[in-house]
Amino acid sequence: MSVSDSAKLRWYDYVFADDTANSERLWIEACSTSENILFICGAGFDPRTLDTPRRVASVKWEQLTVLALKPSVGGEHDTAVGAAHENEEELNILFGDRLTVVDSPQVLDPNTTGTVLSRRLQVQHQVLDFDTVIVDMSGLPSSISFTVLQLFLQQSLLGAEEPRRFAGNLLVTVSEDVSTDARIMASGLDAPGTLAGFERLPDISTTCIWVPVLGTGAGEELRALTTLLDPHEVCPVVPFPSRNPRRGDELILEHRVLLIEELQFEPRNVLYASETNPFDLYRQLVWLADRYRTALAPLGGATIVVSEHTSKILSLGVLLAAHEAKLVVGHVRPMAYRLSGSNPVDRMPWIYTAWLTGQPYE
Amino acid sequence: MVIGNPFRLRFTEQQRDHMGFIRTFSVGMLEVLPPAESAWNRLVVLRSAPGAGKTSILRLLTPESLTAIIGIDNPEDAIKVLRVALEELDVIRGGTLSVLGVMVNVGKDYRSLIDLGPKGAGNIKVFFKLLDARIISRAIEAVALANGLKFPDDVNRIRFVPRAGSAGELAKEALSQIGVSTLDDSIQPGGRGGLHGDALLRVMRSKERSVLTLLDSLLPVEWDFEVGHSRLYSLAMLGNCDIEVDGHEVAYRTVVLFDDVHELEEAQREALYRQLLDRANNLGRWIAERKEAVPDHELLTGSTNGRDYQLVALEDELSAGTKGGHSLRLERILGGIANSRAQVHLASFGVHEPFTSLLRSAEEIEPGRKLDIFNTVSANVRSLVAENPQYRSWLAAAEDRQVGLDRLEAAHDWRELQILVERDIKRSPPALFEFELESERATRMASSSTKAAARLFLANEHALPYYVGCDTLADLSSRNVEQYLGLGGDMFELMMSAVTQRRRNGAYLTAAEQDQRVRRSSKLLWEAVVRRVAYGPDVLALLHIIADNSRMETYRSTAPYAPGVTGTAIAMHERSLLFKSQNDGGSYVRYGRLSRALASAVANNLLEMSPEATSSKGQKWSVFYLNRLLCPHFDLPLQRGGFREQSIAKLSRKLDLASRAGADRPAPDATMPLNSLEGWPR
Repeated sequence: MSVSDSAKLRWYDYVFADDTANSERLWIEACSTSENILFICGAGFDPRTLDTPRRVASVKWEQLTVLALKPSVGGEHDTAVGAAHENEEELNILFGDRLTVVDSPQVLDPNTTGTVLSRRLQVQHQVLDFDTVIVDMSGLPSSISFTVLQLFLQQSLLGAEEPRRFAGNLLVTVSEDVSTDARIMASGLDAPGTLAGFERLPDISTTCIWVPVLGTGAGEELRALTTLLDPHEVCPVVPFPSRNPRRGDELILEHRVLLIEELQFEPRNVLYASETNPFDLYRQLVWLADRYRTALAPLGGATIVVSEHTSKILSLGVLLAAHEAKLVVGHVRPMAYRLSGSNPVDRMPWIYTAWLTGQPYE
Repeated sequence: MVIGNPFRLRFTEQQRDHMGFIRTFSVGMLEVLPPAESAWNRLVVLRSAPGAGKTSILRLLTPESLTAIIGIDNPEDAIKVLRVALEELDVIRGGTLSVLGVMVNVGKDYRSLIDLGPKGAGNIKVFFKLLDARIISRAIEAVALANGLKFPDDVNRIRFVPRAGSAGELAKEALSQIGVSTLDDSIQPGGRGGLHGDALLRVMRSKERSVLTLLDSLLPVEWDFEVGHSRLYSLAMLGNCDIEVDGHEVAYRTVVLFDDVHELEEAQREALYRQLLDRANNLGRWIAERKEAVPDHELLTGSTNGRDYQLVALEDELSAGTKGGHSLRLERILGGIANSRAQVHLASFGVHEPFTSLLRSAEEIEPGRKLDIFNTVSANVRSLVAENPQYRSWLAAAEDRQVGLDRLEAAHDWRELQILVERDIKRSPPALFEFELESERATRMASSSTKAAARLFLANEHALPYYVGCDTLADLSSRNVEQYLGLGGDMFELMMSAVTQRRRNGAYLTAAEQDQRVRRSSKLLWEAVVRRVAYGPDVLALLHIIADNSRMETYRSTAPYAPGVTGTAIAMHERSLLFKSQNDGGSYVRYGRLSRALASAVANNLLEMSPEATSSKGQKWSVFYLNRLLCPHFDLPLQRGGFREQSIAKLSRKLDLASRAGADRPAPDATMPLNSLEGWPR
C-alpha cells in the first residue's frame, strides 16, 4: 500500500491517550463545548466496570446523562450476580438520577443482542442526538460494545441520512489491568457466529481469510470458529511489541496444534501489532484486507473474517478495522465467567482513550 | 522435509479440494442411506451428533463432488467402488449425473430473524422468502456446476421451463407467487418459454438483499412493506420445471439438501418440516441435523407416517450388528478412512503397511513381569479358596486348564476365577456343612463378559496396557468420525516419531504406547469440557457423577455388571418432565440445571443417548452412555450395556454438590470418589 493510500484511512491520523491522566484531559477537552454529554458504560460483573465511571463522575459535568448497559447474566454466574449488583449500586451512588440502567434485551440468538439494543437505545434514548458520547468498553462484552460503537461510527459517516446522522464527538475508553484480565475465566461456549451489525458471511462460497487476534486460553474459541468458517487461509495476529517480548512465541506455541497441524498456516502470514495501540492493529487489518481483496478479485474476491480473543484495547482495533474495511466479525460467546482469586487491593487500572469522531477530524 | 499429519487435515486444501475429499470419503458411509426407491421421493432426515459425517454425505451429493468422481480417468479401486455405490443409489447413471444436489446451509442468518425480524406470522413469511431466494440461487449455481458452466457468468445459458400439464401449472403458480408477492413483473414466465437463469438469479438476489438490509440495520426498521412468502415456493418451482442448458433439456432429479437444521429456532424448524413433509413436492428433500436430548415428539409423529419420511440415525446405522458394544461395520468404515488418509504419508517414510495394522494389540510384557503378575493373582485366588474350601474343585480345574498356557493368559484365567468365586459366595446362603462345589458350575457361570471384566481388572491392578488395537480405536470414536480422526492423528504422530527416531519396531506402536496416548487424549477431553460446551461446569459435573458411579459399580469384586458400567438411565416419564420443565415452567423448573447440562452433553456428543427405551425393573428407561473417550480417564471398559438407574431428584442433588466440589478443577480426579462428599445421596 502506498503512502497516498494510507492517507485514505479514516484514522490515518488519530487522537489517542495512552494513560489515565491524558485520558482525563481528552474527555475534558471534548466536553468543553458540549451542551449535552452521554456516557455509556457497563453495569455487569466485570471488575473493570467502575474504573472509568469513577473518574468520569469526579469531573462533575452538569449536562451529563449516563446509560449503564447491563449484560444478561446467565444462571451460571454464581459470583458474577453479586458482583454485578454491587457495581450497579456504586453507579447509582456515583451518578444518582442521571443514571439509567438499561437491561440487556432477551434474545434467542446471542449475536443479535447488540443490534436489538442499538435499536432500542435510539428509540428510547435518542443517543444520536448528543454532542459528545463517551463509550466505556471496559465492562461491556464485545457483542454489545462493538454494535453500539458501530451505530455511532456508521451514522457519523457523511452519507448517513439526516436526521439520524451523528455529528458529535465519539470517545472510547478502555480500562486495562493485566492482573484482572488473568482472573476472568470464561467457561462454556455458545454456538459460534458472526456479530450482527457488521458484514455478513456470504451465502455463496468465496475464499475465506481468517484473522484471529490470538489470546491465552482461547483454544476452544478458535476451534469453534474454525468449524464455522472453514478458512482457506489464516493470518494470526500476535502482540508485538509487547511487555513480554516472547508473548507472540508463547501464543503460537499454545495454539500450535490448530494453527500448524490442522490449518497449516503459512508462517509468513503472522501479523504483529502493538499490544497497547489499537490503531496499529487497525491499520494492519485494513491493509491486509485491501491486499487480499485486490489479489483475489480475479478469482471472485475474498471474505475477510476477524475475531478477537485478547485484551479489550486490541479489540478496539478490531472494531475500527471491521467498521472501515467491512470485515466479518467472528464471535463465540462464553456462556459464563468466573473470577478466580480475590481482587488485589493495590489494583492499578490503566485507562486508554481513543477519540474517534468529531472536532479533531473536522 | 515437513510431513503433515493427514488426520489433522480437516480444514485445509486437501479437504477443501474435491478430489481430496472424494479420496478420503469412506464408501461404507453410503451403506446407511435409504435405497434408491425411497431416497428421492420423500423427506430423508439424517440425524447424529456433531462430527458423525452428515455434512460429508450431503456434500458427496453435490455436483462439485459428483462431476469430480465421474471425471476421474483411470480411477483407482476405491473410486470404482464409490461409483458402483452411487449407481446403486441412482445418483449417477451411465457416467452422468442423475441427481442434482442443491445444498443449502440454514445454520446462519435465519435464527436472528426471530429477534430482528417482524413479529407474529410475518416472521415465518420472511423466513420462507429468504430461504426461497437462497434455494433458487443455489439451484442455479448447482445446474451451472453440473454442466461445467461458470457461475454466475454463464447462468444466462440455463433456463427453467415449467412442465406441461398440471405440474407446469404448479410451477407457474409458484413463480407467479414469488413475483406477484413482490410486485415484480420480471419474473412472469411466458408459456413454455421459461425463465433464464440470470433473470431469476437477479430477482432472487434482490429479494435476499432487501431482507438482509432490514435485518442488519442498527436503527429501528419498518417491516410493514416487506411482503413474505406464505410457503416455500421454490420447492414447487424446482420440482415442476424442466431444466435446459443451451436449449437442451438436462434430466436431473433435484434434491434440496438442508444442512444444520438444528440451528433453526423451533418455530422455523417446525415450519420447514411441515413444508418438506408434503408429498406433493415433486423433488427430493434431505435434512441433516444434530441429535438432541429433547424428546422428539413433535415433528415426525402425529399426522405423518413412515411413507412420508425416512429417518437415518447415523450412529445407530453405523453400529448395526454390534456385538458387546463393538461394531465390525464401524471398524471397517473407520479403518478404511484411516488407511486411505495415512497411505501416502506413511509411504513417504518408507512404510508400506496399512495404518491400522501398525497398531499392535498384543501386550508385549517381559517374562519376568508376567510371572510376577501370575504369582500375585494365583496367590490371591488360593488365599480366597483357603477361606472357602468348598471351591477347591474349581481351583483344581483351573490348574488343569492352565497347563501350557502363557503366564499372562493364565493370570487372566485366575482373575476370572476370583470373580466367579466372589460372585458365588455372595449369592449362596451360608451353609451348615461345607460341600465341595462341582467345577462345572464355574464353567456355567463364566462368560465373555466375565473374561472381559477379568482383563479389565488385571490391567487396572497391574498397570497393564488396556486400550490398544485398531478395534479399540474404533470403539473410542464413539461412532464419530471426527473423534476417530483426532485419535488417529495422535497415533500417527507417535508412528512418525518412532520412524524418525529409527526405533527397532519401525512405525509399529506398542500396546503401552497406545494405551498411554489414549489415556492422555481422554484426560484432554475431560479438561476441554468446561470451555468447549454450553453450561460447561455443570456438564463436567454431570459427567463426573456418571463416571464416578460407573467406576464404583465396575470395580466391585463380583463384577456384577461385567465387564462394567459406563452409563446412567433415567425413567422415560422423568425425562419427559425434565425437558418439559425447560419449556413450560411448572413444578419441575427446579431441575433446570440438570436438564440444561443433559441437553448440552447430548448435543455435544459427550453423552450418547440410546435410540430406544430400555426396559428394566418394570419401567422404561432412557439410557445415557458416556462418550467412549471419556472412559479411559476413569479406567472404564468400552463396551456398552452396563448402566445404573437414577432418579432425577437424586441426580439433580448430586449435580449441585459435584458442581460446588469441582468448581476450580479442569478435570476430575478419578481416584477421589464423590460419595465422600458431605450430604452425598446414598
